[in-house]
Amino acid sequence: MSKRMKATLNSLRNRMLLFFLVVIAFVVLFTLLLVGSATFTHSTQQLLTQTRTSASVVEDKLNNHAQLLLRAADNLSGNYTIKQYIAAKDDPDSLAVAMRNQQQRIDADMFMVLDQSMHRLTSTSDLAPVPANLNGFLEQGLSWYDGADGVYLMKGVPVKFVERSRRTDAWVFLGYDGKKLINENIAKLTELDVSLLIPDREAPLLSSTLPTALSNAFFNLTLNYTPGLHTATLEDANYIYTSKQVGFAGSDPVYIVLATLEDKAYLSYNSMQLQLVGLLLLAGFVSLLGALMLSRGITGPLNKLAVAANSIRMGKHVTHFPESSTAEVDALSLAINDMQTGIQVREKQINQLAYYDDLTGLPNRNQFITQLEATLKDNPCGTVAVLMLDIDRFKDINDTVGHDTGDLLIQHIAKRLNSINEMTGFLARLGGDEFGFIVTCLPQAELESVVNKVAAVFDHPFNIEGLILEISCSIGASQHPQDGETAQGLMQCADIALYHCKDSHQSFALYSAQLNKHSVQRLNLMSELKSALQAGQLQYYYQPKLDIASNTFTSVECLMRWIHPEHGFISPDDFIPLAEQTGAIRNVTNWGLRTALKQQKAWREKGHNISVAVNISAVDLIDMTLPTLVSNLLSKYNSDAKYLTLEVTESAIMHDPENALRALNALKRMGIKLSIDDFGTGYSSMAQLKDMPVHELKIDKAFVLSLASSNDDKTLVNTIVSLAKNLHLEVVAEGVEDKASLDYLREVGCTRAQGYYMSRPLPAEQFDEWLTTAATPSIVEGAVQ
Amino acid sequence: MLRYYATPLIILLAGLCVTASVRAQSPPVTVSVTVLDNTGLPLPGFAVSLTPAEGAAPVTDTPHAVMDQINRQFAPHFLIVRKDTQVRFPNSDSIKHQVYSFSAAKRFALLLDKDSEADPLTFDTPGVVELGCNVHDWMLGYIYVVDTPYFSASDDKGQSEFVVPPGSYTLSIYHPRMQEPQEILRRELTLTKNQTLRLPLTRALLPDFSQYNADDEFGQYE
Repeated sequence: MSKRMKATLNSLRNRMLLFFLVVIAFVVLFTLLLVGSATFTHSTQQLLTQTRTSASVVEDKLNNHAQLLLRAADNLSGNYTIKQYIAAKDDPDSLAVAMRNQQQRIDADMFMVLDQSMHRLTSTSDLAPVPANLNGFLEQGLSWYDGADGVYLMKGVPVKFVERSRRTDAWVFLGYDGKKLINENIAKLTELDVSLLIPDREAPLLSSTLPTALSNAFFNLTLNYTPGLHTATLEDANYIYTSKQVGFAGSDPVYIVLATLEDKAYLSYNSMQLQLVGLLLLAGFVSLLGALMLSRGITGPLNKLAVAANSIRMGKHVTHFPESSTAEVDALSLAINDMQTGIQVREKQINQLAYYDDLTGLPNRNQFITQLEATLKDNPCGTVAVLMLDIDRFKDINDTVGHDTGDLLIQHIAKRLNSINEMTGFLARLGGDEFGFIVTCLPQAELESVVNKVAAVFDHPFNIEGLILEISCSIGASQHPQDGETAQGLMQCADIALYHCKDSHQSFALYSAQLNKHSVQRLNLMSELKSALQAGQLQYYYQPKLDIASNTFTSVECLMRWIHPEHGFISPDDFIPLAEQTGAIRNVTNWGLRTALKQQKAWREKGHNISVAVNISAVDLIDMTLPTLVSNLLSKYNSDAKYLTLEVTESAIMHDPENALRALNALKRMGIKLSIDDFGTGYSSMAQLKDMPVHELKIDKAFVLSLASSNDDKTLVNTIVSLAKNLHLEVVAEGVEDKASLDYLREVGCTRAQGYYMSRPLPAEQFDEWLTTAATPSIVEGAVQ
Repeated sequence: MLRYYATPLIILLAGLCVTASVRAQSPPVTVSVTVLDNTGLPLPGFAVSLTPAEGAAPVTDTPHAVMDQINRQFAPHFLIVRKDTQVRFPNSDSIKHQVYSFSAAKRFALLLDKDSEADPLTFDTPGVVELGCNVHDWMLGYIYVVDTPYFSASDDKGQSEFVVPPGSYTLSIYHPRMQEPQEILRRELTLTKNQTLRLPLTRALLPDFSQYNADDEFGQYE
């Protein structure tokens, strides 16, 4: 649930909405609070002002009545007839009628006339008491008379019979009933309920515009008559009221009270608050709508962009990108559009790099294979031929003229080949100096002419920046379907044909199954060699070396034999070069040293201290791990280094003399004997030979085989032996097959002899046998076979 | 001023002659009364009268007095008369007046036309008669009716002097401006020898408007 909620919140639209909602809620609450409090204060202030004004209005109204009464009474007091009646005293009825007449003129409710000694002459009610103190009634202001039937706002004036008299002869009073003073008109004027009351009285209320029950209940409460607004709670409703004193009735203060329902008082406030809430809700709704639209304007295009980006991911070309009114989203849309274009450009470049050759601009091997596969698949005419072209001795050319020129040459060749491409088919540079053609729809008979055409490209020398180069090439070809079904197979066949060209120094060879036999065997051998080592298919044959001087056998050469379960015997001459090429030679050498030292140890334990000679290749020499390996194996088999001889061909040393010397020196320091094999067939310089840390030279058997009959060989062997002697080196002759040869070797002082005359190479068991039976001086006398 | 006092003086002198003849057996005494205000200053024009306890002898011939209307004022402002005096109300103004009194001592109303005089009124009840004019509110006048031949208005020094037979008397002092607790200040006296009385008032006088000119003060109400 929470996860889902989180996901919901992660949406931009929802976040925006939430944000807007929160902001609006805050604004609404804040505004409500602020405006509410301000409005409440304002409303209260207004109410206070209103009640004050209303109280003043009511008071003014009362004062107006009092003024009216005073004026009317004053008028009365000057009335000659009234004076007459007062003075007469004997006619109160006439006086009463006259007074009532006056009273009605101003709509007053009562009158009273007192004589000089304040005795009542006449009045509205016969029971009306004479007020104890007249002063209040005579002065300006509000004065209240406690009549027999109620309280009256009463004013009076003294009557002087003679206007300017210094004495008062009587008093006339006129009054309004308090009950009638507080009426609907006043309530209308003030919009408040007005009440008149004397709080100190037992029945305080004189009059009120409030409903009777309510006003009675209201004024039974103890009200606060101090200035200001007060609140009274009645019948679950709050009333706000204020009071004002309006004179006295006797000694009791008279008040007007203005009251209103609190709700009514704050009606404008409440309604304003409602309006405000409504307004804010509306604003909130509009804002939300806006937020929704705004977010849609963003999320809509964003979602479309996501779809577009997904399409781009899947490699589709998106032509239409969403437009948005939002600049940022628009920018993103443009950026993704640009990205797509960028990706396409880069894809093209990558494609170019992957399928085209950088140097020549021709398709590369990858595309060649792809194209070939496609051609084979379609196979419109049923014939497909693959040509592989290789520049002869390109490595030498490159080494001679430099790589830059070599590259230029490749470019020129590519250009020429490309110019004839239309006739020949699909052209690619397969790598290095190798080019390939796919030729389709060509009768087999015409293949040769195509080949000739291609070869003709090299008829003219190449002019590379003034350097004239005569270039020749080898071309191997294979054909579909007879030579192979797959692209790989066809290329392999063409390759084999090409190699055949090289081997046979032809410029063109068409693949045939015969060529394949050898090649495939070679190729297979490479893959099988390692497993052959493990499977024990490789073994050593041991050929003894005769120490000529002592006529004893003290050393053997270990000769590797691969008895292949299918192909039978495989000569080291066949697989060692291949092993050197593939790097498998390391394993072979490792195996050889191990086997030889192990065998040496076995013999030693049988009481025969026989030196073992192991052939190592040029690759082993350059690999500087050889001394370490030898050292480890020596200690493993507890062998003395002097019983180990390592034979290196002359050409192996000459291949990289510097490194070879370093390795040989290291081995020599370990006390290991070193021998130069096949001496005489390489091109050793005497100077190099002098510095070589070797113990012996092995004269190549080419010079020894016919030693008995060839004087030239005799001379040569003699010379080599003399040379070795002078350099304090021992000499071993191989290929000794007859007694005459051995005799000659003894004659010239050769150190050891090796050959079929003594013994052919023997497997370990046979050698052991031979050792016990034949390792006698008699051997020297006769042939072993 | 002199003119206002002329008549009472004559009456006074006449009275003195009458009394002398009646009470021949005892020598008359002289009573000197000085009316002072509450600050001790002499008050002129105050009515001072001595009323015999046994009653004054009735008048033998009807005395006369005049209350004229001059320049919309009563003239004199204050008239002291003996009981039963006939007072004439002439109108010296060119306009009409309606003089009236609601006072208990004499209630009447007279319409005083221009150049025509009403019948004189007899003031037969002692007391103060306040006069007004129904047409002119500012007009105010007094007729003080005493039931004795011994009365006078105090002179400039506030003095009044009477020569009367010894006996019991009521001394009365009145003036419209007085505002003593009683309207008329009275004191019982037994006169056996010459006596000098000083009568200070206890309260200040009311304002005097006998001298007010109607044109000045009340013109606006005309």
